[in-house]
Amino acid sequence: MKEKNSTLLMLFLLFFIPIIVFGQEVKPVAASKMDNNNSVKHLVTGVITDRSGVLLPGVTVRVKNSNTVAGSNTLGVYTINVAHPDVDVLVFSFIGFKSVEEKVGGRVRIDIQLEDGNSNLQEVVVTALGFEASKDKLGYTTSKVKGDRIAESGEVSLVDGLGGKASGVRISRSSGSDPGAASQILIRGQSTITRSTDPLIVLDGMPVEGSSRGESAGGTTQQNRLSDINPDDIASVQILKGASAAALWGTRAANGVIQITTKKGGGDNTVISFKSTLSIDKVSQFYDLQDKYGQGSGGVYGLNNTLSWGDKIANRSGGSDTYNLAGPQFVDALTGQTFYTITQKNSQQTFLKQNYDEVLGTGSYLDNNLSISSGNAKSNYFFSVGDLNQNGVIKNSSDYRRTTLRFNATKEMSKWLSITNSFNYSRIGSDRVQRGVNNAGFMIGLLRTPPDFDNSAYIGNYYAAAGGSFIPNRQRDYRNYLGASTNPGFNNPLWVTNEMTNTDLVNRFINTSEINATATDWLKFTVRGGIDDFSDRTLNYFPFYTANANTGQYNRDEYNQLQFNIDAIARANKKFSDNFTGSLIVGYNYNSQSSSSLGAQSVNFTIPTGPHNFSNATPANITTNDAFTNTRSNAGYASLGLDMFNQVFVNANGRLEAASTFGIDNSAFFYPSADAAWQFTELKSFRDLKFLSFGKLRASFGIVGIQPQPYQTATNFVSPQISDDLGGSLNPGLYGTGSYVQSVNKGNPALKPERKREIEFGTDLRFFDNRLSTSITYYQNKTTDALINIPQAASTGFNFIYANAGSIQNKGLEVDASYNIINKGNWSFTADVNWTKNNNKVLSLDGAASINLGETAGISSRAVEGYPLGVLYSIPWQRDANGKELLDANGFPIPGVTSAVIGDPNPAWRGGIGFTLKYKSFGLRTLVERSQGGQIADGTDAVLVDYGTSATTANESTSPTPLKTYSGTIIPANTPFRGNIQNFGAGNVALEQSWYTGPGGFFGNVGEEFLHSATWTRVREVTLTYNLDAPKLLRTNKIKSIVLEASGRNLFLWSQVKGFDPDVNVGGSQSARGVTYFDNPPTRSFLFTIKANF
Amino acid sequence: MKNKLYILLFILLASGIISCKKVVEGINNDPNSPQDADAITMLTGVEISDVVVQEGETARQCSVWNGNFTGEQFQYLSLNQYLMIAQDFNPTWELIYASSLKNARLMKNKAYQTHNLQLVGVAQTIEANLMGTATALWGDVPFSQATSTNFPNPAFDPQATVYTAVQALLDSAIVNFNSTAFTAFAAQDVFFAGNMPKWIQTANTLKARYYMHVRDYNSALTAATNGISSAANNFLAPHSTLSTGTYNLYYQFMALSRPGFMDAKGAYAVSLINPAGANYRGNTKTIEKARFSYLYSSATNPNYTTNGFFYESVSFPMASYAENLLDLAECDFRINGFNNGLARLNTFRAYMSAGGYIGATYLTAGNYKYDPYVAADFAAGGIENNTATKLANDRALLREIMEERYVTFIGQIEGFNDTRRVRKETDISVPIPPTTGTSIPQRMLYPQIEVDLNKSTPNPIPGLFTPTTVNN
Repeated sequence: MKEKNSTLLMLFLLFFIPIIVFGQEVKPVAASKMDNNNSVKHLVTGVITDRSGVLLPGVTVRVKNSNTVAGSNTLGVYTINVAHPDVDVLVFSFIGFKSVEEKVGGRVRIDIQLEDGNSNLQEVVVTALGFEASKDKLGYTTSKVKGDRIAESGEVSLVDGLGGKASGVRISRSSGSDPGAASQILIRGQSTITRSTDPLIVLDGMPVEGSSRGESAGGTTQQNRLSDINPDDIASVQILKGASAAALWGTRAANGVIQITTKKGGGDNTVISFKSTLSIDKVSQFYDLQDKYGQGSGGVYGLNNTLSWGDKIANRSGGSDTYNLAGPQFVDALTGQTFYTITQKNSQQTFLKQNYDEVLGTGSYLDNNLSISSGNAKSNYFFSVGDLNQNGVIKNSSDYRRTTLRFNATKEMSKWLSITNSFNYSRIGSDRVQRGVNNAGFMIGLLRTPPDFDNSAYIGNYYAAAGGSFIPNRQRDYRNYLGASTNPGFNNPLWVTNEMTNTDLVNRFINTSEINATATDWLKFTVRGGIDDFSDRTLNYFPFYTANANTGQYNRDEYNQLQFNIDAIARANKKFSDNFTGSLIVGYNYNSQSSSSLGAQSVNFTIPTGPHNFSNATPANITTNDAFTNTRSNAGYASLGLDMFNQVFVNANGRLEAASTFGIDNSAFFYPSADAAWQFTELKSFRDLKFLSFGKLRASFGIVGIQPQPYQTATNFVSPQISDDLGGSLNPGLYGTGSYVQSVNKGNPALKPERKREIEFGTDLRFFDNRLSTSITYYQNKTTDALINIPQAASTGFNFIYANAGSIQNKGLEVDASYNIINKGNWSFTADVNWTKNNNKVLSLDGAASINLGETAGISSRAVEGYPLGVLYSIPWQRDANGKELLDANGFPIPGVTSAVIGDPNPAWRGGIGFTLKYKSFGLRTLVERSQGGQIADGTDAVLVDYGTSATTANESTSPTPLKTYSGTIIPANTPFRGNIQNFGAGNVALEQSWYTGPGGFFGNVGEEFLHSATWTRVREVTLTYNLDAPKLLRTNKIKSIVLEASGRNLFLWSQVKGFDPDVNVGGSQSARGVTYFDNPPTRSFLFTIKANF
Repeated sequence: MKNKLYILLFILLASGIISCKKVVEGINNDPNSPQDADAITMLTGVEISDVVVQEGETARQCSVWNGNFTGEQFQYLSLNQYLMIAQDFNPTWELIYASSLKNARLMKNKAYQTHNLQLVGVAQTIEANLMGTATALWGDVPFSQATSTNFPNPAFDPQATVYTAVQALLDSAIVNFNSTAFTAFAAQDVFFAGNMPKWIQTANTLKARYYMHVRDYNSALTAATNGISSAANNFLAPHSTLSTGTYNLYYQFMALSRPGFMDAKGAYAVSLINPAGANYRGNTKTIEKARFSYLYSSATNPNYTTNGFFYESVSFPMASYAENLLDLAECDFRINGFNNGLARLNTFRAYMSAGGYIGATYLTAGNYKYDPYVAADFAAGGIENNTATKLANDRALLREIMEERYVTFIGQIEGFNDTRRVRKETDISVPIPPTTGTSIPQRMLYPQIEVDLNKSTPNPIPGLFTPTTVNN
């Protein structure tokens, strides 16, 4: 700590000394009130904003027909001298906005709102260090998404709001209906094998946590911490995709950088904005289940049977079932209904719809936002409060509530000093269901329930004998008809939604402060520091008699994370001649991240319905976890830029960084980058080309890195739970006096960061008076020294070693285009297109055959040499040398014994197309996105055919000839049977229970059988806007404007799979993709919004 | 002024770079885990690892294949149908080598360093138990080059070599157990609380077991003579009601983590000892009802109900007095003939007559009877030689001994080892019907991780039905 403090102190001194020294002799930069000649001038001042009130710095203000020109400062404030206040006209012009002419008319104060003009024109972008730059001068590409486009998307999460809006950026969901569930953000493909693929999130210049924690194929979905930011607070999102653009962030930049700029206040007039959105959410895809055959096996009804391969329901006698009234009983706690052992199943009643309706329905959210912004020539502020309250489609247990508070303020203390502070508080509470690979999961219970089982009585009293004593609160489900067993096998879905809780509460503070000092007209200093501090409390409560926790389980985890970051930057800018301007940036960055986690799990509750805390279990039944992490990095960096002849722009950057996670022998690493841009249309020969308004060629190169995980440089001793494969585990800590043994993971003192090198070429072209703009970029990157948990042959004594091994490569093409097709009178029509193709290849794993990235045990997503990252890996059918499937004696394919690559989840390309149509006060916006290619393995239906609940299994076929079944029995000719007929190459065979519960189902190991094309096209958003002329309509000036919006999210989905959204992923937002396994269903939403400005 | 500025800038940049490395040093030491532990601290972990090897997944797999249980669902349906893939064996192999053997050897070396010879003996016994099990099930396995940083591709030592090494380990262990050099580890020794006579007996019973695997019945007889001398000295995996992490692993599997995966529907072992079974082995001198009820709660389910053999708090035999008595019976018969064999069998029956290893809850009078056999019982037409094809009386006795061993080893790996050992002696081996094909599996598959990562792994790997060398 001492060292840290002294370093900081030194930094501050270093920066403030020059500021103070130079501050004394700063010459006024802005115009003074009195000129040197004696004539009195008329000074006009004002604030320039866009229509949403965002301040516009850099707007050119000109007195028409004169040479007097001024510009607005960082607060959007301008001051200009007017010679003839009565007749002069001011012209306000700014790239991307319509020019405005305003007669001075003797006024001294003129505030101006600029309207969006041709958005294809020159944009201002935010660079890696948070400074603004002209996009046309950059040698690399970035994508910018405006805040209102994110807020309008109707997505709860900022991450999902970015979907389909920028090339090179792939947003993939992990879950359809879990409010707040994390989605994967992938920029230019995966450039790391096992480290997080999440980009660095920089919020107002401060790196903040944006990823998710603790994701797995089971448990509950987890949240992206990026979703903690209120989308309505965002002015713009800038995505730095390439290594060159992001290089100044060093080891944190390999996955790209997302720069988020929040709104600033502005204008003398205080603007109060209110926005309220109601969203109605419905399940959009659901599995096709059968209701023809009952619970049981082999065509025979079986009470408590796991499968639905029972008798044909239509063949039952009808009427009520026959019961054994003298035997054990179950009395429903809610209705008092008594259940007895069924001795004869007679009822033809089925419950598919009822079982569904009891747990799934219409979800909704209400999102209210209030913001107040104001300011004056010297300061501005923006205050907002937002509250989003969502009830998901899963009844009673899918809630999400995000309450946010923001206060941004800037004050110009003097001509040379300004201070900015932005503060954000978020509180996120949620409740979710267990899901995925998890016997306690929601969809497992729901989809595996036989059609003739009524789930509604799920909790009650179990009587071992009629008239005897009872055990209260037993769980009843289809495998536990009377609640006789303490273990229900799976959970009744109503038990999942009504009895189990999985809550999460996040309290988060982010504060960034920035001091800007202007030493001379060519030298500026910036010191920017911030903290991101949050706590995350997770509680899981599994009552007594829950699957996986028959005697109860309670988890509580208290996680805290703190990030501290400070940058101190000096910027020099010198115009050497009309044709030559140079700039130099030198800076220092210090970053510290620490976390602590304290949690425990109790099992075997003392009192089954006792309090939800650790007191309700004996000490032996409580296990604790207590962990700390602390990582630190610091770096010096410099950036040199040259503008030559106003057409060639060159930048060279370097960052020297050291981090605590590097091995002992590895000191600092250097990350260089360079980019160059040439506006060739500045050449004389191009100026005459009428159709080509602007043309730029660009090229860039950069190296960025990824840090190792902390604490991997040594081999640890651990106090293990010794696991019994498919069974349970033994805990040596409960025997003897406790024990530590050497870990199965080998430490590595030689760790260094992964290094990603990227080159990028591209061109930006604009045609037809800037109405059509295009941007094309080709990139190629290669990551070497990739950090891998390399599997070891266990006979060496270790299962894994963490090491720099392997390399991976991405090559891709990005195309963006925007065409303002109509812009006449009241009509305007714009089309935007983005398209990305990325080819990924694992070049080397240094001998590791494959790296398991996740998903399920049967079908995993892996890194395999020579294949794209994340390929699907499972057992294929046995084949001969020609690739033809080998068949067994009965004519069925034979499962292999060793796993191999069976498919690739990566899409060939992704593209989005958006249309914006405006007519007078009406606006219509659509966004359609397509993902072409790739595969997804449907583990859910693969299991459902095994269980016999999938509709596929309820087909009734008639054998044209005698047919063999997988088990070898023969179905005589002309015999109807339950199942399907297929020819694998040796004549027709019958697919019935023995096939589906064998190799034809999920547990037959052959993942190849369940692959589907993952191609999809979806209408992500449709938004209809009507801009009410409020003052006229309501006859008041108090309400300045009212906008009404109706929109739909995920309205249509076209894909080749049934029952689910191919954009789902059981492994969450991590790099493993391509398998769905009892994920919660996707949703579509209808949203209604009202916005009012006061 | 400008010059001063440049100097300051230079200092800034330089200080940033110089402080670079220093600022981040010394904070990557894991605050959450130690980097070392002494031998005694490792002991419980090493012992419990061995428990999971001997009682966990591998024992269940062997028992399903050996007709003790039936795999019903999902992965266990595949197990039941012998549809195994190399990857299925990754977890058990990792458990044996990376979790157990490595730490047993590490503990051995650390115990040597402190001259705690009795603890060295414990480490050696566990190492021998691990490797004996591994070589019995997989044949040639990494041993001499295993768990050493010098060998990235540990060689697969021939099965016979591994058995020899296992015997050497046990011999050395016995010497070390007799040493007086030790620092007490009674509190950490969850098997015997540091009781050396019990460890010596266990080492001898294990020696007998591994000699029998290679059919060295002579040496086995000698070792078994010094083996476990009473049920009180059994080498037991301790279980208790304390918490899930101490429960019997069969119980955890069947009652908690994978209900429905495994039962005993149609299991051959049930048909042998269920008084209502098709092949019931009871006769005028033998009643198996109590043992059946202890092992199986019904004709279709292993008994993991209260106080049953697989119940949560019931300790599981890793080597037992019963095993040792039956080792003596078979070896004495094979070396010294019928009369010795019969006498030894009757010793076992006398033990069972007094309740044997059957849980007290199930010892209802009249439900168990193990009267001594006489020679006439094995003569053609005698109660133990009464099948359609009559055997010579000595073969009939051996058949009875093998059947007794089969029943006694229900749920244990040794039953599967026996079946494979005597598979060629078809007249006396227990006729377990394969669930498919003509043979039950003869080995475990080498795991995918060794296939992928250890260049010494045999290529192609032997199939499930290829006998290991000693059984060939």
